[in-house]
Amino acid sequence: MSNPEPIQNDIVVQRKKDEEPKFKLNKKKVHHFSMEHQRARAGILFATPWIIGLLLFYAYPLVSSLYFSFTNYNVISETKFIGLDNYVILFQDRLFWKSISNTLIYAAMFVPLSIIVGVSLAILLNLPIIGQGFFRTLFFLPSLLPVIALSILWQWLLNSQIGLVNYLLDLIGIAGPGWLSDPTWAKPSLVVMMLWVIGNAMLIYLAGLQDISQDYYEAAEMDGANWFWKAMHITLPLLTPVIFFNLIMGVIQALQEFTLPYALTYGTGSPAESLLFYSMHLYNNAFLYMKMGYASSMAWVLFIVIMAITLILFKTSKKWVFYQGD
Amino acid sequence: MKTQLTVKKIWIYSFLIIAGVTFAAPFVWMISTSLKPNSQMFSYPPQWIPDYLYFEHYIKAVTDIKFFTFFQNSLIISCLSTIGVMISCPLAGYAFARLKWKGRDTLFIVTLAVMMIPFPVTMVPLFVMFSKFNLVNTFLPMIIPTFFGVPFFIFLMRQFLKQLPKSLEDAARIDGCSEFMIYLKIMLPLCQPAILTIGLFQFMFSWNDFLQPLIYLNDESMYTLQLGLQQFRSAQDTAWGPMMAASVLISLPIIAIYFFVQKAFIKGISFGGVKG
Amino acid sequence: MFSFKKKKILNIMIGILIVVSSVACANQSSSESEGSTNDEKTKIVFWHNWETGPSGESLKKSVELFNETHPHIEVEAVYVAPDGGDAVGSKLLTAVAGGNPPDVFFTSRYGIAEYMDAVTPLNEFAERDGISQDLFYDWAWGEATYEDTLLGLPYDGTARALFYNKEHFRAAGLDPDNPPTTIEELEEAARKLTIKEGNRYEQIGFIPWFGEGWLYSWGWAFGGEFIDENGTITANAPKIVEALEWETDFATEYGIETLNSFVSSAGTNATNPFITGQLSMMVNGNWMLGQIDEYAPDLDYGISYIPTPTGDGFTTYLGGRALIMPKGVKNQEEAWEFIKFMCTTEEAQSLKKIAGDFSAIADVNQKIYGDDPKQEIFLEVMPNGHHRPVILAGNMMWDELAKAPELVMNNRGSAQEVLDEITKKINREIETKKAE
Repeated sequence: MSNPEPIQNDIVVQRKKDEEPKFKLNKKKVHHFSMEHQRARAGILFATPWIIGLLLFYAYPLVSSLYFSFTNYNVISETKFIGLDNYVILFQDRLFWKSISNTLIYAAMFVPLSIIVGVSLAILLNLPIIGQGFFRTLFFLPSLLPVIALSILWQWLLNSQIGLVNYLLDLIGIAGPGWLSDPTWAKPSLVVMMLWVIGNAMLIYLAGLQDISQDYYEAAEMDGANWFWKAMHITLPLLTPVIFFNLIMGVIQALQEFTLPYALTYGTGSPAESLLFYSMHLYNNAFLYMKMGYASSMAWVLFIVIMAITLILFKTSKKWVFYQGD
Repeated sequence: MKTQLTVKKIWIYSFLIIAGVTFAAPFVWMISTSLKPNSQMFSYPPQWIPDYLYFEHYIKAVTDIKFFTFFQNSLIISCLSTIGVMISCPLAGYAFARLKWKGRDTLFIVTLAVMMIPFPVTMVPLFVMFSKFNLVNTFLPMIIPTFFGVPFFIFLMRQFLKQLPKSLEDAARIDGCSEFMIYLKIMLPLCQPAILTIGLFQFMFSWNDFLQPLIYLNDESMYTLQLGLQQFRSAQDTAWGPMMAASVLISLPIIAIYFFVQKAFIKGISFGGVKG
Repeated sequence: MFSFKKKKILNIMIGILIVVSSVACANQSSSESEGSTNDEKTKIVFWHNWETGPSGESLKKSVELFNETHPHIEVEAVYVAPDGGDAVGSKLLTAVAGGNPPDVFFTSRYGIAEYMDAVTPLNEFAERDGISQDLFYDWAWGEATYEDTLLGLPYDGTARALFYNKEHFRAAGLDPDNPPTTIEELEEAARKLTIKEGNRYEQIGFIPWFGEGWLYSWGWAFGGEFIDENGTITANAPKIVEALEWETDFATEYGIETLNSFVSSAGTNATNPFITGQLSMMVNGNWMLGQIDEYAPDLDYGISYIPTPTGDGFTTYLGGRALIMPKGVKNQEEAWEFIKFMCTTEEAQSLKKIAGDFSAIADVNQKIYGDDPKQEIFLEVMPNGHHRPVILAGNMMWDELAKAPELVMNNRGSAQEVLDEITKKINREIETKKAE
């Protein structure tokens, strides 16, 4: 059986035209009703696996982690309901505060930088330049690296004694710090590593840039606008929905950063707890000390913090996010 | 006017080249380190190009680590979970994008909200659940959920499917094709770029995942490459040569797959309708 | 054209699915057959984390010996990689909770107590077979018991001492046969042994926290005690605070940054700075003997007591593993038989010589190492050695104390403040767990 129409790979972009065509309703009412019914049934049927998955792998764990957070659950001993004890102890735990502040500081450094670097690279790579494909691949390539490989590579590059980075700094007369052994430099080092693997975000910005209609630019050029004006008044505003998306995802990801600091420090968060990230502390409590109830209360605090930040971002988004065609 | 344009071009290209070199240098250094003997590794000033190609580190990397066992484990988990999302997510995406049913929009909002649940929140109960079913120390906890759908991928599929012209399935529907046939024969082939994209995303995620294998796998013979490499590293923390070689080896499959599906990749992401 | 492409991809997918699922199935069936039992032989499973190196070999040999000498039991040794140090962790606990535990488990002693609910106490077996405290060193038995409950049998011991490079001593005008015994002498020697060129250290005399210079090692050397008779943690005892302050002062004198970047760049095994001659003295464990033999057989070095403030009352920090029987083990008798063989018989314990590891039994050590001059200091101080407190938060205490020096050196609080905080935290943790 062949396709009814010569459909080619090029997707006809027809956004906003997916509304139900109303005229059919009048034509064949009975037939349409049964079809409607059939489609509704199919819809639920098609969505069933996901509904089950949603309940089993998201809803149930969410509720049960809330329940665990009020118990002393540790897998092996008798489980008791202990009310808010976990939360009380949590707020007195120095490491809890340390890990929260570490994580927030990291997020506050990484997320804005990732937007600046990601958007700038995407704008550059969207220009009609020679070797566009080559450059796109080049900037994307690092993000394919597994985090463990990334951490090993950068540990080698940032080694204070024999690392390449300090050698290069030495050439221009700067005595490089002990990047990963100095508490003040450990988090910035992590930010650098994560910026190196920015490819995924960059790609999403690139997709967003390609969605911006050329008409805007042509109109602006007629008025004699230079590239800077265009970037500030067309590209950036129209890219804000994508920036917003990446901002939300970036914050959520940064706040649960685990693998990189864990791999670098084997879970200790050294030097001087400066790389003790929230999820690492949570993991240690859950799987090293087996305090799963306690870890669950940590998880819920994280969840609430993420929800709060997301909500605030959504609230502010009305002021700075513009949608094409609005 | 013309000189201004050239000046601008010079700026763009010099910036691109500087940034490009900065991005490429760590990569080159990794490959260079993996291919030179220890004597050249610590030489001062650093040597970018080895005097000769030295493959000992690669041999050491695949023999000191149970490389092929770990490779096979990583491959099993990654392939099966990739197949999982490629089956489950288009289904749900289709239901959200092109079928009308009660509760659809609410469920879609829930699906978006679920993306915000950090894994550490569900990690403990999931672990407990899988350990009750005696599935700890198997690959299944990492595979089964993908067959039920992953919210982000469902979202991507929906966005993609929403862009397709309506006329497609209407004709088939009039012809009396069942909904499933429409999905299978008309929609799925059109979704190929998006399906490949989510497949690549999932493969990358599974291949690179560290936390889930760390939690679920005990037996060393069940380890994935990421766990195996981290374990090797904690035992041999300064064996830079073999570690770089192993890092190159575990990155290669991902890079290869990326180049294989690259074309579909860019096409498959559509954020045109981020707004919902 | 389009349908052809689709078909191809479908074929590839199906192909992968078949290959992968057949591999997965093959794995599964092989692991299932392992669990089956034989009529004549009882099969027991032993989880350990000593796979490689001489220690792995000695462990393997003792298991083989057991299997040869006990025809009715077959032990299958399974390597299970440790998840945090080699303490009991999620792996064992979930296996126990899932009703599928190994019959015998190999683990660090200090962390067992808090997981008592996952362990079968061995008191009755030991009493029945006449195995008691008298057989082992005090520290070994002590670390394997919590409030009179025998959690496991001690399998080995690890001891620490001061290693020093005799060549460096001669070059610095120090007497290679008279290593420092007091803290003051140690500081002085370190100063003489340190060679600085410009801003770079060519050779460093000593770094207190390098290698096995844990706060436990120094706390005991300074005469501190980490726990009192009531089982309350006293990690902020004056002597321990003094030890930590001394470490910090030492760091300040040489530059915290410099020493830390030296330590973090330092490697293990062949690239250990003591082995490569960049570090003149270190506190390290007895297993270093084997490593030095392997990587630098010509290194001219000596071994001495960990110096103390007074130059007497030498002691050491002793650790080691135990074999435990998880809860819910079906073949308890056979498991006990194996534990007993591994931990108490001379035949099994003597095999430690392969790796240079210490037995937890004094007589065995005397027999296998008595004539080795390098082992002299270890054998001498071992009976006076200390073990870590057996408490309901042993893992947490270890982690907290391990990073205490780093915190103080990076001005995250004074030694007193940091140790007060840790003590408070651990005691509260113990109370919480006792209350449950």
